[in-house]
Amino acid sequence: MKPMVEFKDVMKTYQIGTQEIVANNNINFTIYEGEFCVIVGPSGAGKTTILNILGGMDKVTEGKIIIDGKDISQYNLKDLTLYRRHDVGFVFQFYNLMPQLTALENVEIATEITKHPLDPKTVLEQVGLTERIDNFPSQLSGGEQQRVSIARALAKNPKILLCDEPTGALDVETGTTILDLLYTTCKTHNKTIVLVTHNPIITEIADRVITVKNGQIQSIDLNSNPLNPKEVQW
Amino acid sequence: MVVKSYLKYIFKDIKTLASKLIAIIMIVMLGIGFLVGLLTTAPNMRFSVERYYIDNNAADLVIQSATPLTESDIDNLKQRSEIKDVMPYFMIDEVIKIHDVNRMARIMLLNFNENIVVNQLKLIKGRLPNPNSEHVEVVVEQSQVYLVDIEIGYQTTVMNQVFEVVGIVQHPWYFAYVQEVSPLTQRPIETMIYTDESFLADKTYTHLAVTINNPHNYNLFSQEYKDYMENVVDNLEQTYNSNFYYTTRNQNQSYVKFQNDVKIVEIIALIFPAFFFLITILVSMSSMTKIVSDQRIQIGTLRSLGYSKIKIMNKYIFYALMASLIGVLLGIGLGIYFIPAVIYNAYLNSYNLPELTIAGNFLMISIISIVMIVAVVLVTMISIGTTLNEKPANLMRLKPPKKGKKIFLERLTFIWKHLKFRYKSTFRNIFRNKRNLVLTLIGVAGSTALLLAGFGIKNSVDYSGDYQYKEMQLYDIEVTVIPNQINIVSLNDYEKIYLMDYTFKYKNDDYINVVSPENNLLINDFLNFKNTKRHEILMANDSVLVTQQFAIKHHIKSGDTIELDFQGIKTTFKVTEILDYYFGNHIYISKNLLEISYPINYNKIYVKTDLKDTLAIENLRHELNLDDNVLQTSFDSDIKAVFEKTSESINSIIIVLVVSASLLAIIINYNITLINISTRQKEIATLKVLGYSEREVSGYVFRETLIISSVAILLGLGLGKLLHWFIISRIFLDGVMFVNIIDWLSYLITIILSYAFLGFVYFISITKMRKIDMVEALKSYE
Repeated sequence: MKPMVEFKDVMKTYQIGTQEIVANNNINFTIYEGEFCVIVGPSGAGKTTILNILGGMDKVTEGKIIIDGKDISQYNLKDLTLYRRHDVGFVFQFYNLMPQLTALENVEIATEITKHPLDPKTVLEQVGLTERIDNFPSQLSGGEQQRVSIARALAKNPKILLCDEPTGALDVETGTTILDLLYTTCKTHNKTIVLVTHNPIITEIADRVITVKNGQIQSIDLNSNPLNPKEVQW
Repeated sequence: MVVKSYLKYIFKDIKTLASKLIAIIMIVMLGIGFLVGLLTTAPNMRFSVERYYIDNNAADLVIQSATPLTESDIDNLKQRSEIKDVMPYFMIDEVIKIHDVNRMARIMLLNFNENIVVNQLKLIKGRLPNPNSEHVEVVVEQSQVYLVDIEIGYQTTVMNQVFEVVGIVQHPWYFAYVQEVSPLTQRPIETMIYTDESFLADKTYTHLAVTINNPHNYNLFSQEYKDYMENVVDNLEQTYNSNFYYTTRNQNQSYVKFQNDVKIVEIIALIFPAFFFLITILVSMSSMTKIVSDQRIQIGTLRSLGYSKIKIMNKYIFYALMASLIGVLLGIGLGIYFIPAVIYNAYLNSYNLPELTIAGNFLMISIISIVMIVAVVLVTMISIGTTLNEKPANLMRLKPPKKGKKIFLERLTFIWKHLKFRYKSTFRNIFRNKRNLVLTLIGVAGSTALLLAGFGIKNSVDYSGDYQYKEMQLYDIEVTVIPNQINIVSLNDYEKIYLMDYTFKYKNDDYINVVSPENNLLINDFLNFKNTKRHEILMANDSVLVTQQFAIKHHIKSGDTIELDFQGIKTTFKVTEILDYYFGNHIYISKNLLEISYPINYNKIYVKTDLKDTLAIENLRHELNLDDNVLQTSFDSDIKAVFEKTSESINSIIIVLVVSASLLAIIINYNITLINISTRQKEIATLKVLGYSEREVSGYVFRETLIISSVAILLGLGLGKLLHWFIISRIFLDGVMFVNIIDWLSYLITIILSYAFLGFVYFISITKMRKIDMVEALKSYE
């Protein structure tokens, strides 16, 4: 199996005034292509910092991050922009759709700038929004909005899909269908998915579970028998 | 306890809201500053000259008598209740030699032994004459364009007596650079000399300088004052015989010129108020709305803690009141002296003016200030009102972004489907936030209009001068001669035409110069006539050509008949064309029509010299001055120089106009862009996460500003054209009007400037946008 994400001795510190605060220290892990990886931990554990670094939104202080063989820790701001543009699909907790754009246009906003995008309409059909493509976010339910957000991330045809608490703002039932959509995407399209959550139950569907605590990795577990989201007892 | 903590809360908040409150302070300050400055300029200019009149006890009226005035005449006048002071003096216009040149001098004999009561001379340099000195000591009027420079210590012989100049003075009736003409000979006065009355052995008085009691304290430039003076003169005329000739200030050239110039300032300044108020109110409204929406959660908390709506509202009213009050005070401080001084000083090139005095203008400033403060407070109450009417529970959440919806343009599928995606998004955004749309449209259109109007006024002034003095008048000198003494030796070698130019009476109360050339064909080489449609026309045997302003004033159209009156002989003429003409009122009538009723006496010569050399021009001027038959010479170059000075003075107002419009444009653009960015932080952060580059993100946000502004600029050009026309048509003074024209270059500069301000704000906003952290995208609305 091909390693898709590699963190090597990653450290991230923040300068607040004269004080240096260590957010992450000694982070080492590898995620392979097509894996469904869940990063779990209580709030303040440092999982958001990992997500920011992985998503190319922030730079590391020390260490290496290899994405599909390329070391993004050496990237400058411009390279990072291109990395976010072509290699990362981002699914937000609060969907972050543009209110003035329809579902279709919200997908197009991402595909417009990428090199090898998928057809926005087809992707929206895949996520089950065939009937809703001309609706504005305000006319969609939370679950539907998150589907648009996933479609937007997928249509970029990225190397990895990053999800920040994708079910955090949804009820259990809707949350399950969203997780199912991500799960299916991962399995049928062999897409690498990294999902960050504080909810330990979600780890049951993951191939790989990285547990973060106090800015460090507490454990990395491989799930020999990941469950389908529909089978999970929420 | 509660009150104390509430007050603490108010003041604590001021710190966090400082930047937005400062925006309100700034816009109010600028608005008030320019408003107060511009609106008080004309009153202050008038006030300064009024003070100058009062300080020097300037005459309201000069009475000239055909026969020597007697003591009883004077005493009689002094008894009259409407008359305050009377000062008799002797005045004569006499040719004297100064620096070996014959100059027309106005000599006034005053009583320097006693204080001069009326028309006190202001000593500029040197000292006043000593009546008891050995030879005659004199003071001379300060030099200017039309008055020669004579230095202190200069001696010359007048009527066999030696005159020595001991001082330079200024007479309160002669503060403008205008040409005074000797009424008897029609020759221009080239110097004014004041000396003691002991110069003449027998005391004869020819003139009386009179001040009038001003029982109602009429403003000396007001219509009431003029009406009152007319009344006084009427009464005097009824009492005394026709022996007296009366000159009020309204016939004093300095007074009239100054009044006209101030009128232009006043008309141009009047275009500001509405726009400035509108902008200040709109900007305050958007800033205040932003403050309230930023504080939703706090407002919600206070509401749920049981604070009344009024108590919460009071806080914001307090902010609005404080900010607008500070802005008003700063604005008054900034505008009250600075702007009037800039404009007033610009007029020093054509006047010997006293120092600028700032009148209180208390009422006007109070009204402007109060209206501004009330407007800002009202606007604040409206924006809080809507927020306070929401349920406290709703207030605890951030306001969700406005909903997107289809816009009208989408129904035009044939256009919409060809639009690029980014433009679709832009167009929806434009209509999503209507308040921003309106603010940008009004702000940018308004400032563009002011810019274009400003540049346009400059074009109009310059074009009118160029047209009149370069395009239309093809002659170089206008020589006034003693009637029928047209054989002027020094003009023998030049191309010339003889004309008759007399003042005719029109409709009992107006006068017009009737000009008739010796040859209808030849005149077309000296005057390039054009009608109001700017078509060239030639003078022919049936021609009666009326200049534009006179025609507008009396509603005369071509084809109309007009009746003219010369010394009681009335004749009607059929007007053939109205002339495109800007300075002066004339009727050009063909000689064969005029000579039917009137004798033709030539008294004017138009001369073409083509002289370029200054020395040659001065030589010719010298020769003409020496010629006894020449009454007056008017060189084209002199008139152009005077006109250029007026044009320069008007420039100062235009600069104030352009600077204020520019500052407003920048503030409006900046304000809108800041609000735009801060309400869309999350959108911007999301775009960054999606991999949009800095440039693409700013394009995404700025594209709509650019589109709205472009529409606004286009609107502004139309509006500016209208505004310009409005101003130009109102500048319709006696003998002065300006052409309604705007150069294409002015359009271009206006467009470039308007986009430059946008560009400037764009660069500021790019740095603001760069600072937005992508982590914002991960935060919630809730």
